[in-house]
Order: sequence, then structure tokens, then C-alpha cells
Amino acid sequence: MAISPDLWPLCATCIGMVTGRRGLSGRAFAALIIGLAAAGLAAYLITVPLRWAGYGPTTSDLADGGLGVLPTVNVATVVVAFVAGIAGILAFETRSSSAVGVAISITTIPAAAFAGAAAAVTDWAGAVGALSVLAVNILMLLTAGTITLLIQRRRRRPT
Amino acid sequence: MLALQVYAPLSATPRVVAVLSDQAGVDHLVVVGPTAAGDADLVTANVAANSVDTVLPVLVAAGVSGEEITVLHTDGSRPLAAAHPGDLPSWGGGPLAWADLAAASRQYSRAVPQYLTYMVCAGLSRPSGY
Repeated sequence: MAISPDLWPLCATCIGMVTGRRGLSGRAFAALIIGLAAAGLAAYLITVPLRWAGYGPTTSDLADGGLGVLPTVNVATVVVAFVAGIAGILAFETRSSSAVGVAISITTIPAAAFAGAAAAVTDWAGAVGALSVLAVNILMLLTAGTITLLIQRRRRRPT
Repeated sequence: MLALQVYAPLSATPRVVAVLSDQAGVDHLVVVGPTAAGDADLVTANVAANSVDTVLPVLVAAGVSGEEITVLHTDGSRPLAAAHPGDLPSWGGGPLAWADLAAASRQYSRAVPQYLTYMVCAGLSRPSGY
């Protein structure tokens, strides 16, 4: 499984919520947001000099680079993020089998980077759209991960 | 199956052995011996995933510091053994060691430099795809 680095704090947030460890979930969520901000800032900082050098994406490139639908929230956004949340938390639980060859694209980093790059090319609508996608993705990932854990915890109780 | 590694103070070793012997899901209990410093005994055992949450508090109550208790995840197999319900988590889905899961989560709950480096690298690599 190709694992995004932000999957770990995301899963830690879910586990903190399910096990009632508010401090853990709070710290993990903060780490998640800080990491995504770093990714977005890095995308911004690399895009600005690229544009100056004539290699960077233009506003139109940003939408046409094969990821044109990225800054758009739709049903697929929600479904993909929800399913990725389930797969992500299951991968986290079985740490020893994290290389199982299931490519999951959790669209947090692309959305964060898109927002940064869009800001660099002054595509404010794209930046806002990407941040909207990012927010929806985080919400769905957390929801799916938490529900998965709650189901597993409920299955455990009768024993 | 998970492996339990406990450094028990010498005075607590008999209690640790006793409580582990009484716990369901614990087997292959071994008192390896004293550490070089002679201040603790190394005690090891195999523990089923669904017993970890029960075993850990018992060990602490027996006088072992939480810092001296380690749960090891091993990738070993028992090719000649019958299926064991404790050999989980696995594809079949099974009981989780919640305390262990929370401990693992703590490692990932801070924005440490290595994590931020990964995220920055990811952010730097994305604009080339736009």
C-alpha cells in the first residue's frame, strides 16, 4: 500500500476519539493540519520560482494537468475519501502488512498542494475549491476511520 | 500472537510470573534471567491480541513500570500449528489490542521533523503534476 505520511496522524486522531483519549486525538489532529499546511506551503514556495523561471504551471495548466476536477467537491470526493478512510485505518492496525500492494490515493496532499500552487498562480477560486475538497476529505477520512474502529470495538465487547 | 517483554524489578518477578500464569491468552512464559545490572529480570511471554488490554494493567499492578513493558509485533508463523484465534490481527479481522494501538498512535501524534519533511517533499513534488 502506498501510504501517505499524513495517514498516521489521521489514524491516530481516530484512535484517540474511539478510545476516549482526547489529548491524543487533539495532538494528532494538530499534527495533521500542520503537516498539510507544510505541504501546501511547500507547493506554493516551489511554484513561485518555477513560474519566474518559466517552468511553472499557469492558471490554465493547473486546471488541465489531469487533475482539473480536483478542486471540486462531488459525490466521488466523498465516496473515495470514505473508502480510503476504512482502508487506511485497517492498514494502520496491521502495521506489519502495510505493503500489500493496494494503491490508495488519499487525496489530502494533492488537495493541499493544489491549494498552495493555486495561490502561487493567483487562482484563488481553485485554491478555495481545493481547500474545500481537503476539508471534505479530512472529514470523511476521520468519519470512516472512526466508524470502522467503533464497529471493531463493538465486536470485541461481547467476548 | 504478540510477544510481551517485561523487565520486572527483582522483588516483583514472582508476582509478575504468577499473574501472567493466571491470565488467559498468555503462554510460553519464560523468566529469561536478570539484566547485567542485576536490578531486574527479563520475563517474556506470548500474548493473544485480545488479552493485551487485560494483561498490561495487571502487570503494572504487580509492580512493573509501564516503561518496562514492551509489546512486540512479530511476523513469525507457525506452519505446523493449527489455526490459533490469537494469531490476529489478520485478514480475518480480529480483536485489537487497544492499549497497544493507542501507544502506536502516540508515535504519530506529533509534527516531528521527519513527518514534516515527508509532507514538504510531498508538497514540493505535486506542482510538477499540475
